[in-house]
Amino acid sequence: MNQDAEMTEVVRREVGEALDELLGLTDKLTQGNLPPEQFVRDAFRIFHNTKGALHLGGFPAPEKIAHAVEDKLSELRAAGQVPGPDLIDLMEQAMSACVYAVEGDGTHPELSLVLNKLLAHDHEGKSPEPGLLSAEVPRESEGASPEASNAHGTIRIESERLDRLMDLGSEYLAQYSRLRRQRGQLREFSDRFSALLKRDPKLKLLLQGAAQDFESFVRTEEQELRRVAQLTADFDRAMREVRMQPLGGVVSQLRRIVAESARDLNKKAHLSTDFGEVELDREVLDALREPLIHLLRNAVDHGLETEEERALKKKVPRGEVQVRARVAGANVELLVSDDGRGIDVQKVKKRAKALGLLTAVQQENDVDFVDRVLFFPGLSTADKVSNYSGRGVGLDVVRSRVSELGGTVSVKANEGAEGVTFTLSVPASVVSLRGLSVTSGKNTYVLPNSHVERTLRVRAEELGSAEGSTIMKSPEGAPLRLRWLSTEMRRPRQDDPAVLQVVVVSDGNQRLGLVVDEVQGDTTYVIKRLPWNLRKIPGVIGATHQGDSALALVIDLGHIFREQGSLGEHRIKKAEKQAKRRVLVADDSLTSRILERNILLEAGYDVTVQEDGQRALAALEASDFDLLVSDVQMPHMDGLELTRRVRAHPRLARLPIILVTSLDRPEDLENGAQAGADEYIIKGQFDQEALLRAVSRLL
Amino acid sequence: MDMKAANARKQRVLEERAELLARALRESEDSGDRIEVALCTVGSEVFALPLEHLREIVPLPALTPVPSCPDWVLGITHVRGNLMSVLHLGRFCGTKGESDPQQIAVVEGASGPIGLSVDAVTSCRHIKLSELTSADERVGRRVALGVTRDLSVVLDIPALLNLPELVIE
Repeated sequence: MNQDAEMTEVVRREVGEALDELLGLTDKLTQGNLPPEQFVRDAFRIFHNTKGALHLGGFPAPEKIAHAVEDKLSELRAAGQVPGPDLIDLMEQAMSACVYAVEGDGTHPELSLVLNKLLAHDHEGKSPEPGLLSAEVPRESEGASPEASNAHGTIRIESERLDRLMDLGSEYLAQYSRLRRQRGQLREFSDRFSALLKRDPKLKLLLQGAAQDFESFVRTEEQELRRVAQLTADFDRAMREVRMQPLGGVVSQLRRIVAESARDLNKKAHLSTDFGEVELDREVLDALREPLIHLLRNAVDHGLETEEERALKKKVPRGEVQVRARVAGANVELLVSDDGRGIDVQKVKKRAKALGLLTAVQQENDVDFVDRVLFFPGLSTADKVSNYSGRGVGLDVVRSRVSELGGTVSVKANEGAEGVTFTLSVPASVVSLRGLSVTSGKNTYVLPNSHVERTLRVRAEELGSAEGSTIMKSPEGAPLRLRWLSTEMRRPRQDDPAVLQVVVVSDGNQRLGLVVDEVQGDTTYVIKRLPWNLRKIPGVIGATHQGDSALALVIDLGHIFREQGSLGEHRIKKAEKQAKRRVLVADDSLTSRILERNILLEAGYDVTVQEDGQRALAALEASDFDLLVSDVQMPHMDGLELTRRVRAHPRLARLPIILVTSLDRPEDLENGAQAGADEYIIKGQFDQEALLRAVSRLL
Repeated sequence: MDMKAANARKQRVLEERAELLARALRESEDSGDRIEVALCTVGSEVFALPLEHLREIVPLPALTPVPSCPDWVLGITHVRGNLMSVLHLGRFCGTKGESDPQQIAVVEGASGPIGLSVDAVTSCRHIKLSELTSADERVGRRVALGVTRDLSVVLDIPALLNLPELVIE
C-alpha cells in the first residue's frame, strides 16, 4: 500500500472511531449518566482531534465541518453553557457527514447541508441548572468516558493509564535485574560449596546428600529463572510495542512543511519518503518532529538551489528532498537528504574560524571537519536571515534534541551525487534501553549504548597531552582526547591507577575516551526522568535502577561533546580566582609576543616577554617563573635548545614549558617532546582558547 | 422561560451557597489554629514539620549525587517507586551545629515530592498557630510560619516548595 493510501486508511479509521465515541457520549448524556459539562469537554476533544486527522489526510471539506463544530463547542464552553438537543443532533449529523466523505473521495452532499445548518445555528445553549451538579451523577461513569471500544479492533486508552502500566513495568524490570544478580551469587555459592567438599573426603561423605539436594535446587532455580528471563524479554517487547507508532503517520505533515517552505522561498521542491514498516515509540516520534521539521526547512532553504541556479547546473528544476527510515539494531536511522548545492566547506571554515571553533586537533579532512563544527551553536552560513533558517539556531537545536533522546546526528556529502544527507540515529524505544554500566568514585553510571563504541585499557605512562587535553593513542592510531567521568560529574577526581579504564564514546562525529574506574558490563535499563526540581541539570538524561539500592545516573554523552566549546571560558574564570602566576613568553616576532602577552594578561597572568632563547634563559635564571611559553624558531637560541637547557638546569628542570610555532609539522611535535616540552601549540591555528587551556592545565 | 425570574432564582441559590461556604471556612479556621507537627532536630535546631504536608519519614536511603547542584542538594533517591531529590535541611536553612542526616521527611508539593534530611524525629505534638512568634531573627525565616515558645521553627512547607531556587538550572 502506498503511503497516501495508508494515511487515508488511518484517517478513515480515526473518523469512524470518533463517530462511535460521539454516539456513545450522547447516549450517556441523554440517560443522565454524564454531566453536561463533561460532555462538552469530551465532544470538543473529539472534534478537535478529528479536525486534525482530516487536515493531515487532506480532506478540506469535512475538516471545515469539524472546525465549525469545534468553534461552537468552544463558545459554549467559554460561556459555561451546555448544548441543547438540536445542537447535539447537529453534531451527530456533522460527524456522520465526515465519515461519509472520507469513505468516498472527500466530498459528500451532506457536508454543505450540515455546514449551513451549523452556521445558521445561534447560541441557544442552556445554562446548567444550578441544582443539577455533577455530584448527582454516579461516580463510576466518570473517567470511563475517554475510552471507547469499537468495531475496528482498536481501543483508546488514556495516556496516563498507559504510563502507569509502563511505570509498573519498569519496576518489574528493575526487580528482575536484581533477581538475576542474585542468581549469579547463588551459583557462586554453590560452586564454592562443592569445591570445599572436594577438598575433604570425610566432609564429602558426610554432606553428599545435602550437597546433591542443594545442587539440584540451584539447577531448578536456574531453569525457573531462565523461563522468567524469557517472559521478561517478551513482556519488555510487548510493553514497547504498545507504544509503537508507524512513521507513515507523519508523512503528510512533512510533505506540507516542504511544500510551504518551497512556496515561501520561491523554489520547487518535492518530498519523497520511504519509511517501510519502521515504527517508533510515540514519545520518540513526538520528540523527533521538531528536529525533522528543522532539517527539512534547512534542506529547502540552504540545500536546494533556485530554479534558475538549477537550470544553470543542468539539474532538473524541481529539487528532491528525501526522508528514509531504516532499522539499525536497536536504533532507527532517519536519513534526510537533498540534491541541492551541498555544504560550502570554505564558508563553514571561515565562519568556524571567526567563532574560534577551529583548533589544530580539529584540522583533519574537510568532510570530518564540517561534520564537527556544523552543529555548533551560532554556526550558520546563510548570508541573510530568513524566516526558516539561518538564524544560527537550528542544527545545534537538532543535535541537542536528538541527544536528549540518547541519539546522534551526523552529516555527510552524498557520494557520487550533489547534496548532503543528515543521519539521525535514535533508539526505537525509550522504555527500556541498552547501555554500559560503569563506576566512578562510589557511584554507578549508565552510558547509553548509542554513544559507546568500545572499551579499552591504557597504561598511565602512555598518556600524552595536546592543547590542554590529555590524549592517548587510539588503536587506530589517531589521538584520542580523554575526559574523566568524575570531572564531568563534578565529583572529586581520585588519583589515576597505573592502568586506566577507558570507554570510547562518539556522538556520530567526534570520539573521545571517557576514563572510568570500572566497567561493570552491558545492562538493560529503564530510564526515569530526574525529579521535578532537577530537570534542567545538563549532562544527565535521567536515572535508572540498577538493582542496587542507589540509583544510577544515565549520562547524556552528547552533552559532553557539546560542552567542549564552553570549557575554555570555564577555565579562564578559574584562572582569575587564582593568585597571579608568572609566565615568561619568548618569541622573536613582535606581533606574536604582543598577542600572547595580551591573551595571558587578560586571563589574569603576570607576563614577561623576551625576544630570543638566550635572553629568556637569563630571565628564567634570574627570577622565579611558573611557566614558559616559547616560540620554536628564534635567533641565537631556538625554542628546542632553550627547552633542553631548562630541563638540564638544576633549579628550572621542572618548569612547565609550552612550545608555540608557525611550523605545522609532525616531526616538530616529536622534537619538542624529545627536548622535554609539556605542550605544543601550532601558531597557524593559534587561538586564545587553546593557549589558555594549555596554560591552565600546566599551572 | 422568563429571564428575569430565572436570574433572580440563580442569584438566590448562589447567595445561599456562598453563605454555606463561608460558614464552613470560619469553622475550619477555628479548628485550624491547632495543628499537629513532628519535631525534628537538625544540627542544634529543632524544626516543627506540620503533619498535614508530611507524607512519611523514612531512614536515610542510599543517595545518588547529581552534578551541578548546590551543596544543599544531597542527591536523588527512590522512596516506594518515587524518584525525588533530597535537600540537606541544615545547609539549606543555614542552621548552627553540624547536622548529621539520619532520616528524611518526605513532603508533597504541587510539582511532586521532595525529601528533607533531618537528624532525628523526637516527637509529635499539637501547637497553636496563634501562639507563634515571628521568625525574624531565626534560621529559615523565609520558610517559617513562626517560632514556638520553646523556640522550634515551624516550617511553612508550601512556601519552601515554592522557592524558585529549589529548581536547579
